[in-house]
Amino acid sequence: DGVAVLTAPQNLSVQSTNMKHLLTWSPVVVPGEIIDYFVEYQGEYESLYMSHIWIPSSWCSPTENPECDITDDITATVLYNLRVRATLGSQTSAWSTLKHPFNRNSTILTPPGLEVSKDGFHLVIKLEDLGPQFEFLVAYWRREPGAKEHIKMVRNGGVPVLLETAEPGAAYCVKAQTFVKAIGRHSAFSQAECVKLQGEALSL
Amino acid sequence: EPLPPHVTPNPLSSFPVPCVHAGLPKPTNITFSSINMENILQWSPPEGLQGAEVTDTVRYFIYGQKKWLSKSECRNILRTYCNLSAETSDYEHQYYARVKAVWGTNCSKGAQTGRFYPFLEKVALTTDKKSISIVLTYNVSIYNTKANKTWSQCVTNQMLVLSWLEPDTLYCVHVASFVPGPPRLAQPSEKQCVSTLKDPASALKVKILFWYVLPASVTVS
Amino acid sequence: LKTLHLGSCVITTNLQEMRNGFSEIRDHVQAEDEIIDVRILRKMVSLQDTEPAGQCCLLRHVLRLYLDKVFKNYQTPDHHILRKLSSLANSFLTIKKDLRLCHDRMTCPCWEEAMEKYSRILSHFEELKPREAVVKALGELDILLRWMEETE
Repeated sequence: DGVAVLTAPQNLSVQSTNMKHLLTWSPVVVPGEIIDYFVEYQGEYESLYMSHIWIPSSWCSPTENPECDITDDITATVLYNLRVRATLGSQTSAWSTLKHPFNRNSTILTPPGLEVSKDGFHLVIKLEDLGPQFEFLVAYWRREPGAKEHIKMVRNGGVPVLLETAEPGAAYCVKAQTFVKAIGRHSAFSQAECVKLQGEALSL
Repeated sequence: EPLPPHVTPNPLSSFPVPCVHAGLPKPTNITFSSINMENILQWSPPEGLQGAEVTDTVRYFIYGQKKWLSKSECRNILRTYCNLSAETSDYEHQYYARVKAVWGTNCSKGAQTGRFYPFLEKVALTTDKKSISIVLTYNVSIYNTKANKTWSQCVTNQMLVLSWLEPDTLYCVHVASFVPGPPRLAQPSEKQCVSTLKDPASALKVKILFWYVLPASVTVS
Repeated sequence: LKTLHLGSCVITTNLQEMRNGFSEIRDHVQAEDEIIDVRILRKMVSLQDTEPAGQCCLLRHVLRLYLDKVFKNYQTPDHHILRKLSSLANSFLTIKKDLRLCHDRMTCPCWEEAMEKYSRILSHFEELKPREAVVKALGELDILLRWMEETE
């Protein structure tokens, strides 16, 4: 092990939004030199049953950037310890450990992006693709007094989905929220979007 | 009942056909494939024996049990596949299979699969100990060629009625079965297209029927 | 999330995530197990064929076996496998915590059938050398995940 002459990375913190978790820290600066960082993590199991074991992060062992996407490492809803150290050739800093362990159930869930379109008399929606952990609850109603709200679960985003085959000239409003099964939480609803479908009633 | 201490099966004992291990190359790429509920063992012929009159013999083994078992229809065969659906139908169990090449009185060692678990290959099965019911969801994609728009819809029954279509418009559809449970790649159907009539007042409906042949082996009671 | 009904103990768990994770290392781990005529999690001791009231107790003991004796004793230089096993171990820990809550609420009783089945599992495990037992138990995670799924 190299002698720890490099200062250890400081100000470790995790920003987590929509189940994407980013560990950041203040860069270690040595003029004219490129610093490598090594990130390691430890789940609650490791810290309880094998506390000496730390696991190299999937994408940042090493990395040159003062941040690390740890989404693929945080794969259970338990507390995770995270640590980072800097290296420059054979010089190695001490480990810096995240002050408060991170749990993915604290992630910020934002209302999903929603595109409402029509194809003839068909009301079609396309939801933001947030990855396989997300399902969507879609609420829609006819824009008229006393209209009943309908609910539909949409399994994945990123693809246009038929919401309703509507009568000519009908106007509908739609809003959606995400649901993350792994942590049992959902986002707030998005703003409602309304569209009017084409044509007048057809006599059949 | 007390279980006998485990005995690592002797590779030779698994093939009673008297033949000599003469360094014949083994069959290759031996795998189980689960295709529409059928468990097929497939392999490639041994390299370097093209043109020779080589036959293959299959054996299978139930993980945790003691004996290699044979299937008479897959002894000394020229084809390079064997349907082991009946033999691997109990999805409580896991299985191995071996294939050896035989040329005259010479034979290769057995090429062996990994551990095959039919349960993971089956669709989302719900069982009440008496029967297996299969929940298939179809993801229907509809493409309006005139508006150049595509949208999809999930249905569980085997008929979908699309109403209020635009007149004089060609709609193209293809269907993929979506199966909850372990991730599985479902081959989408071929694209089918149909045109709505020119007359807007006609019933603007298209019925999309799709069917799915379920092999008899699926119904286990 | 899947809801597991273990008698009057009901918990939710991310079975799909665990199954996906194990499917990535299954072939590797099972290939290490060369003793194919021995199975630890046998049909006759399966969770789903246990009296519902005793299922929570049996699962709790089996998870404790995995957490105490299997995951921590499996060494590998392969970081990918290490990460997948860490994910499974931490998911098992989450389930065990939930079962602990059931235990505290007296909805996880341990009766004779469950304890008899667990002692058989333990004896199948302990018949093997330590390294063989750990490798075999890991290779049978797909059986255990299926047992949990069948109690859905």
